[in-house]
Amino acid sequence: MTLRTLILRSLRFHLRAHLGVLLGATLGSAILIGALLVGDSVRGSLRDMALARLGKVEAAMATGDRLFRAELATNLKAAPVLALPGTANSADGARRANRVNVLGVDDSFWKLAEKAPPFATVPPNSVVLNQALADQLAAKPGDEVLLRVSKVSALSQDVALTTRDGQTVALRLRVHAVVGAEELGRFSLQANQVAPFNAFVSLGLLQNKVGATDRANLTALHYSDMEVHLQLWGPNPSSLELINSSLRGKWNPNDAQLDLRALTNSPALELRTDRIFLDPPAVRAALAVDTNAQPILTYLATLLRAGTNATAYPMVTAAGAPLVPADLRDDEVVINQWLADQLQLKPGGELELSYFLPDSGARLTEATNRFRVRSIVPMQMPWADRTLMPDFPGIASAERIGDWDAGFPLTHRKLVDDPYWKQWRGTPKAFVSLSAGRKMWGNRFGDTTAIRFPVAADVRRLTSPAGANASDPERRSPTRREPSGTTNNAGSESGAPQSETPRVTSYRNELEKALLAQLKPADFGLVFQPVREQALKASREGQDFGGLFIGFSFFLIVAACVLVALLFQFGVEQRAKEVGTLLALGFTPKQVRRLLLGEGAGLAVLGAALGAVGAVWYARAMLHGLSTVWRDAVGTSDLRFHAEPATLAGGFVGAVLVAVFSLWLALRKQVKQPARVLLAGGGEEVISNQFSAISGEGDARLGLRRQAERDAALASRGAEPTPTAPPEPKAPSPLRSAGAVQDGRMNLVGAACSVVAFALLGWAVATGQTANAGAFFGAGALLLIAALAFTSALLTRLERSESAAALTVSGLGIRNITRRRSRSLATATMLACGSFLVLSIGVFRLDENANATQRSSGTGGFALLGESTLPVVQDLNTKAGREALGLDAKSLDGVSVVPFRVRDGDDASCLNLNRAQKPRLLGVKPDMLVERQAFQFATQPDGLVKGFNGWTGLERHFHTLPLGDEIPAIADQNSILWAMGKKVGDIIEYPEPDERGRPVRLRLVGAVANSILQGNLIIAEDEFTARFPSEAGYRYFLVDAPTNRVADVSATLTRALRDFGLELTPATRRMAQLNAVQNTYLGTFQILGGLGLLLGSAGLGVVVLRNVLERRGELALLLALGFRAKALRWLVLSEHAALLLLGLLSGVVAAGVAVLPSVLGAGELPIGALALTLGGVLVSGLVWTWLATVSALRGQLLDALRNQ
Amino acid sequence: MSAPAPLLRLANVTKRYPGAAGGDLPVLRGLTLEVAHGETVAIVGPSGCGKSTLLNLIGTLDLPDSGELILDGQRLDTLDELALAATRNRQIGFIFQTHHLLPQCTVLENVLVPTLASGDTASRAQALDRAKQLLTRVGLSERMNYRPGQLSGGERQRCAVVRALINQPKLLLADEPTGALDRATADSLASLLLDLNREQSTALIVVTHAPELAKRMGRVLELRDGQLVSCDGK
Repeated sequence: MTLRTLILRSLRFHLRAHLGVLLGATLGSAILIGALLVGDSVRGSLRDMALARLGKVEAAMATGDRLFRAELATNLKAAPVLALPGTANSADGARRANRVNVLGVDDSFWKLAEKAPPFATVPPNSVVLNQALADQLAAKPGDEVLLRVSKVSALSQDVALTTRDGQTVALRLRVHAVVGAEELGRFSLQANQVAPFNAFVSLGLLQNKVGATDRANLTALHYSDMEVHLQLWGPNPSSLELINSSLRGKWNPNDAQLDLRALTNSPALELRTDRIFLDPPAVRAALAVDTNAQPILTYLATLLRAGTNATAYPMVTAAGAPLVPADLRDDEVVINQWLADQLQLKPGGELELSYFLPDSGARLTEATNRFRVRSIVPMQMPWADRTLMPDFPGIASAERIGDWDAGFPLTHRKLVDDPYWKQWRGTPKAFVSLSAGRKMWGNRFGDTTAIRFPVAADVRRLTSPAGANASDPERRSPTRREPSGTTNNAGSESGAPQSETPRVTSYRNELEKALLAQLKPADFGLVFQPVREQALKASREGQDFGGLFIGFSFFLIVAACVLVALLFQFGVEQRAKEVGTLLALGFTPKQVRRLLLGEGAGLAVLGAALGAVGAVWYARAMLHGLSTVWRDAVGTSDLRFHAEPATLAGGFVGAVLVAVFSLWLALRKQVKQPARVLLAGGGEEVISNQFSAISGEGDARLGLRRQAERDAALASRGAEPTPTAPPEPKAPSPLRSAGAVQDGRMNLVGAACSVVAFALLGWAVATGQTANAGAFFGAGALLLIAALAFTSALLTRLERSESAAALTVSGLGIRNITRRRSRSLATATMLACGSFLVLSIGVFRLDENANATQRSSGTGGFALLGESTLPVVQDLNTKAGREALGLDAKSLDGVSVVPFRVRDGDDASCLNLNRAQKPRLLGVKPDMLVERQAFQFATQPDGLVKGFNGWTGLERHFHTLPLGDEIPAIADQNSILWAMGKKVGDIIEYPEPDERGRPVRLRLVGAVANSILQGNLIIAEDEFTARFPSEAGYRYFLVDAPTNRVADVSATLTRALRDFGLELTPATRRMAQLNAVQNTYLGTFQILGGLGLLLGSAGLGVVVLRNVLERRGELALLLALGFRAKALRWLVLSEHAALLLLGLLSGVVAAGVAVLPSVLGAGELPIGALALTLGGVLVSGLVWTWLATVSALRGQLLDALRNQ
Repeated sequence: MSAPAPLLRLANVTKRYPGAAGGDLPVLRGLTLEVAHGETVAIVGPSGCGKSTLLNLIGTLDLPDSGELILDGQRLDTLDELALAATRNRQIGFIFQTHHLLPQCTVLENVLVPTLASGDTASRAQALDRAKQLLTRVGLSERMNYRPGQLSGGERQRCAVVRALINQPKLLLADEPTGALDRATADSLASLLLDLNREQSTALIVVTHAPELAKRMGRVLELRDGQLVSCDGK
């Protein structure tokens, strides 16, 4: 015989009695483990989705608008992809999809799919759609669809000189197939559970159509496919390091769109780029490898004017010697003979130079500088060099100036110099110093259009380290010659072609090698990212639905625990004599408790084991809910059931612990009863004022305590405590005195809470804060406390009631509530708190329409939110910009737009279940938000110059402390907290460097309260363009529009910007989408909470059963006294129905106050669902009470009397 | 030569309970009692006179308001709960009016239950032998693996007696041990108690309403007005 044997014996013997406990433990465990399995399932589904969108892809390199050779990808055993944004239409134009990823792929791409699609490659003139896009377009194989794809522009759309027409190309293609997730249909590098729209076309076709022959901007690979030479890279490098090392070994400057070519008109090499402006890292590297390298910046002037003479659209070159004198000042200019003749200029004359600010994009902001003519150079080399002009798209190949297809109108048409263009093409007419040129035309893309390397006799100079003067290109020339009208050092006629000599070829080879050694692919955004690792991390760290559903199921779990505790306590009470015997035999209370707890633990283990099975069903039910009625919270129906062994084990242990803890709480009081009370069949709380000969220590102590209370009560009235003194005829009984004290105390608490609650309400109403959910919830909670305090006082008062004359059966029943006052109060409290929380949680439902037009609201006061597929470079706030887009000025009267630049990244809003690894970046001019005072700040930027706050926090110069390389950023509070897991003041390190290879570190300086900006990180536009110069134009818009014309404005803009794939959404709708997540969560909580209350009402049945069984003798006496059984049932029912009503009423009244803001704000309060919940609880409570009453009063009640 | 120290000594023991009118109702008023080793004592008295209260005090199930309670030279009224439980387990055996056997355990297991409280695993093997011996002694050798529900009333009470003796207590307390038994069975149980008292040298205090049982004890005391009064002049 051991303790374990005894526990097992007891378990087996009392199994039937324990069935209820087992059921409760099973239920609680099923809910707890089930909630954790929901977490597993969401996490697992996200992981599945992440793996599905990547297939076998483990690393990828995406370079945006920078095109590298597709051959580079092939050499790395990676799949080359040309990924471009586009829109898609069904053939009849009836259905449309914006933000479509048009992916040019070859057969190597499909080899990365987990499951090979039923085709080897996409045939030309065909398209393969993913399921999401096929559904959106209602397209099936054989149908035609129209794709509009953005062309790849060598020159950013933000450069004034870039051509803006024909930036998209339309492709009419036949649907070849529709691919599912396993066939890489969801391919995307962004972590989001919402499937993207993907259209796969032939790589060759797309390259040809968009003018990117043999180019790609994305490549993806599976590590085992890559070709690496392990021995080269040291011990144990990671696969990612290997692939990036391999990239460094296989790339060439062409992959950074750099072109090193021999000049045909002089013995020199030139480094240039079809992006026009050389990237600063390329310039640095070029100057470092050759001390004789000459940087050149050639730009278009709109006008050169001297007095009344002027000429339009000449090129002007900024350079050092020998093109200009080494000591040429920044306000001096060297002009060629043609221009001197044309403008009748002489040395010393003044020249006005007008030009478009390069960064001004479509705005075409013009500036003018004045120069003094230093000298005039002849139309000979090196000045008469047409190769000095970069290959401006739309300009370089035109035969006449009038044929230019540039991004600006030829407003000075009469001043164009076609003869010059015909003879000299882009030969610059004027030369300024490099520094003067850079001041005028330097921009975020670069400040150099070419670097020239004179071919030297000794190529060894290339290997020398960069000299001290390397950074000062003005002083780099080894030969400084004063240009003069008589000097002609060209050696050949301008423009006359020269063939590349062996010396040049040899020099070129060495230079290329030296350049490659200096350049790093990462400087140009060429770097592989561990996308699979990042995706798995995003899914792993995503929204914890396990915790969320434990929260939602809290009431259910608590109700199950309460049920377990009640039933177990009930069972133990039935075994009071057994407990008493053990105590009498010398067991300590602790030992007995351990024995019973051991028994309970056995039940808990069994319950948890059964619950683990039930958990699967619970989790499946919740997943079904999330995929259907609660879909707003997750945005996908692709959630699949997953169960991790560790979760099951952890949940099992947790469930056992929770159940055992509940049982421990239930047992504490039970085993504290003295043995003799238990042996006497007791366990009943001794509060009777009748003397009992067998009442003992506990009773005596209770008596003494009450004596003390009585003394205290007497003392409070100034009377001496006289325990032996005979009672005054009219003095209250000790019990009544103690009760009166308690009654008074509770009334005081109730009154105080009521006063504070009403004061809070009054303040909220008086100050117009009727939408202040916190104040109303607080007032409601205080009223709940007050209601419970009054209930307690009422019970005390009823206990002291002596109105024998007014006694009725119902009255007697209600009086009986006081018999177990603490139990009655606990029951009422549980029901009140449950109903209060379930009802009042609705106050936190978010209403997107609340104050939507106010700047401080979540919409920022904006009417519309727009997102375009292609960047819009025109200024939608100016007449010129609107005209360029064909917008009628009148239709946009009163409309203003805040445009944002966009760096695509992960959606960091609550709509994305993944943890955003690289949140989407928006760049905005802070002034535009400052002047509107848009949005409310939950946390104001800290450490700003006095007097500044809000959006000025985005501007570096308003910060009092140096930020270093950190970029100040502001985001929505919810995004910061939940999607990024950060707080204001934290730094977000982007996993990818910026376009210059610098790490991106964003300091969160402020947080905006619940807003439509969720999902993004916002930085100042200048910071944005400095880091991501290639991100042209704007793709995110907040639109102010007159409230009565929102729909018209939306229609007008959508129509005009159709080719940009603009989608406008009312700001309130966007807010509603975001709010839907929280509101759905609240709804889920209310539903599960309601179920918990229902279960709790079953607990009331157990309480009834206990109460009645304890009082069978008393009830039998009533029967003996002539009461009918029906009357007894009514007695018991009325007693517990009163408790039920009291609890529910307290909760409902308090919750009614708490939800006032929702009611006043015309928010959608689910009154029907809540009424149904409460009605269900009431009915369920009454049914359980009735069943328990009937069950307890069944049988020979009079036997109980005899047993007494 | 001084008289041997009594096994049990109660000196000026008082016990009160709160009364209905607010005052205290004294149950035991300066009660004094001495019981020698191996002595048998019957305590009689009308219902509600405090017999069970007295037995509860002796059995350490309750504590006196004042006075001394000494068992085998050790004051019990000053011990903490743990020590009292140990005393109950090792030095005192209880027999109740109803047997209070654990229905889930066999007869043998029920007898062994008190040995579980001590945590002394070494003595459990000896206890098993002793339990079998005692059960054989009281005629339950054939019933060792029966459940209480399969026994007659007399058998259950005999089983309870063996359980009370399993830890070789010095004092056996019996509260109306024959109260639920028929006359023949009651006589048989009384004989058994007295036989075991002799065999085990265990002092026996019996609270009873039954004069037949009381008469068979060495001393009969009546509890009257909170004091013990000898009924037989012993």
